[in-house]
Amino acid sequence: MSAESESLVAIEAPPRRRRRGRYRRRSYLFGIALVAPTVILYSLFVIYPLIKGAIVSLYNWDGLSSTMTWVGFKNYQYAFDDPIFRLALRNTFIYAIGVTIVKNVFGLGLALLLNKKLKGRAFFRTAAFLPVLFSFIVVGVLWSWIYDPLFGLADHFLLLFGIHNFPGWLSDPHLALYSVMWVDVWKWTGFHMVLYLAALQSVPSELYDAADIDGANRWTRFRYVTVPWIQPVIAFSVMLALTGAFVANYDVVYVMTNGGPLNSTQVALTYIFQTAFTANEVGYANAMSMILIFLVALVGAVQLRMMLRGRGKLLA
Amino acid sequence: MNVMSISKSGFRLSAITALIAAIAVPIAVPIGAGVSGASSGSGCTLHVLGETRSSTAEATAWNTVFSDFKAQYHCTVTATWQGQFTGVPQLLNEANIAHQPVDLVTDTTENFNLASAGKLMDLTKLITPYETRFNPGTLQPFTVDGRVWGVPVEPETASVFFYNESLFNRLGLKAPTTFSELVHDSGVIKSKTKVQPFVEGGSDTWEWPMWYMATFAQTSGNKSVQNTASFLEGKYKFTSQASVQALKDLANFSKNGILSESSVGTSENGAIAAFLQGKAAMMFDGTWDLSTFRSGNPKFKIGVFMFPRVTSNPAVVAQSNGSSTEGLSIPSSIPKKDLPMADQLLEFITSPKEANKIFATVDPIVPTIKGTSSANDPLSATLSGYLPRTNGWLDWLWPTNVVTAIETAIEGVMFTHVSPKSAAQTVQNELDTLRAQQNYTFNFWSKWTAAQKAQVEPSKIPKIQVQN
Repeated sequence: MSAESESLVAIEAPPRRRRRGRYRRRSYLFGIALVAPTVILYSLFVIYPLIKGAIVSLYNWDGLSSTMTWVGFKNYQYAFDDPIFRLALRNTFIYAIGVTIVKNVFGLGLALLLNKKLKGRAFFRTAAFLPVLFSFIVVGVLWSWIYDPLFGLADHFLLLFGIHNFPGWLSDPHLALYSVMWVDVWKWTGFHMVLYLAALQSVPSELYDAADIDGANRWTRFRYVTVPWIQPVIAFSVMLALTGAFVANYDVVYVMTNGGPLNSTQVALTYIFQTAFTANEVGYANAMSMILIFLVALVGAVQLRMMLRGRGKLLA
Repeated sequence: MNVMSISKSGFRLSAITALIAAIAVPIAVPIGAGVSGASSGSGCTLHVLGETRSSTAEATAWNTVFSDFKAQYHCTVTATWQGQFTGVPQLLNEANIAHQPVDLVTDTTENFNLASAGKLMDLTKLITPYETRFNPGTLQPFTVDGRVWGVPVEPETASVFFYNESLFNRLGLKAPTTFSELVHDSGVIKSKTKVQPFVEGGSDTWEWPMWYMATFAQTSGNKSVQNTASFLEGKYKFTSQASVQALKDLANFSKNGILSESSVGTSENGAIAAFLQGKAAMMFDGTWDLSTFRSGNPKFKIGVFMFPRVTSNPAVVAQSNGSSTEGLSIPSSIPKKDLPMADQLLEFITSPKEANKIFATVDPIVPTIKGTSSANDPLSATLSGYLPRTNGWLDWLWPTNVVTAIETAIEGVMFTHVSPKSAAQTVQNELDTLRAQQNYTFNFWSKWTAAQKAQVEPSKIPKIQVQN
């Protein structure tokens, strides 16, 4: 090879290590370019408000004036001393745990029913899923009218069974929270039904055949074949329901009762909203938000740990 | 140049382009929205901000007034009508943050909050040339700590009992003037008909304080406004005899079977529907709903009566509460160059000729501005007669936390979940907490520094033309 062609080769074909490095850099840049919009928007609309909220929680601010007054952690102390906030947190936990259990039990029950060969099965599946498509505002208004003491269908339904002593669905402080929780269950059960339906259809029929041969009855098949097989879906469905119930209860409570009567349906989100935008105590509301975020993160972390541990056992 | 180098440079170029686009797009979108939202055009332009108008007719009336203003003063007025009255402070805040000019803003129950936060201009001296055009007492709801922060731009409303006059006549009953007469009438209605004596939209909790205001007006010896100011200044306790008695009187409404706990689960719309369908004989509401009642075409004659006397003290009169449903204020953030024209616009809108155009679309039972016509309505004369005995809304003075505490206290007391004394104590505790934690002060003006006052007082009072 001549000296000229050797130098041409040197220009046109750089060493392999340098080529790999350049390619990696270009891929890295391209990857950055693709995720940049999401990261920028996430930082602007999630991370920044979170940090800003944490800072504002250390001040007294009415959200209207241009000055904030430093109070340190006093807002957190007020939150722990506030009986309404403690009640709101308690109601939030009752709400979240209650609807999670009922939604999943009903969802699995419906899925088991609608997994069988039934006439009109498609219709029933659609009917069960339909409420999922409505917004919580629409569902809240609908059920407010159903529960209405003068015009509501709920009381008329009870009349059919000869019951004249109507409960105060949304007026009795001992009952109102459960009436609102039922609306959440009614709306979302169809969604969980679909999750469980998909899981049930993935269970190999050979396992049921083997169970039949071993003399298993319906309950034993369900307990030792169905449940272990769909356990990841159960965990996922429970996690979705739980975290959603903690942070997605505002709309339905606001529309139906706005925390009343006597704060019996007050949940953390409605109380935080009222404190920030009605009472103009933005600093205090931010402190309560931080406490709620911490509690929800804790619940999520505990659940994730349990899920992973469960998954480990399953794999073993 | 070979294929490899073309593809390398092309790849680099596309990566750089993608990176630039990725950074530019999230920044460009909000800027573009801001640019498109900014006011355009040269010359005088004023911006009005307020809640959604109650009807298309009302919105048209406002546009007509703005067109008249432009024809006379060569100044364009643009209006943003959005959301409910409770959301206006947030809208104003957002406009301030976005540096969007707001020259006039609607003002109702948030008057105190906005004024004490330094968001409103002190109008006391600005309206001096035309303040006599407002009917007596109609500026009082917009006056805090001796300063005027807004002017009424809609007719006066009041809280009254509406009743099925046709049913009452059929049963030989007269509109009650005392609580015992009300109990008697309710008993007759229950025993002789399937109609519920009374309905209340209790799930709309803002209605409950109206009840307390009516009983407290009597138990305080017709000094409810003064006592409320003293309470907020810390000189009067909510646990004192008059307040506790007012709550006890409310409890008697449910004890005597006039009001049932189902009211708590009924919305205002549900209550109106029940009343209009003849399922309930009476309801306690505001005159703002009179046009709603009429448009429901009830098959009976509607009558009104004042909240009945609950006290036996002959020196005390029954009173209703009320005010204009809407006021207009000048935000303290107004560009200084706009202040003279904004003041002129305020004067123009409240002139009788222009105000009539707006009033005609909102059922002017009781006008707030002299020289404007009231509705040609058989009830108008009766309701106008209540005006001298009408106090301003106390919930315009109470801070929001106290309003919420009072709503909860009334619900609790009325349906015997809570005793009147402990309900009163929860309200007092709420105010005490507010003072301790949020440094709440009622008479903020007298405690403000000269610098704070300078931010809301006009540095120069503009000369304006006063319409006849």
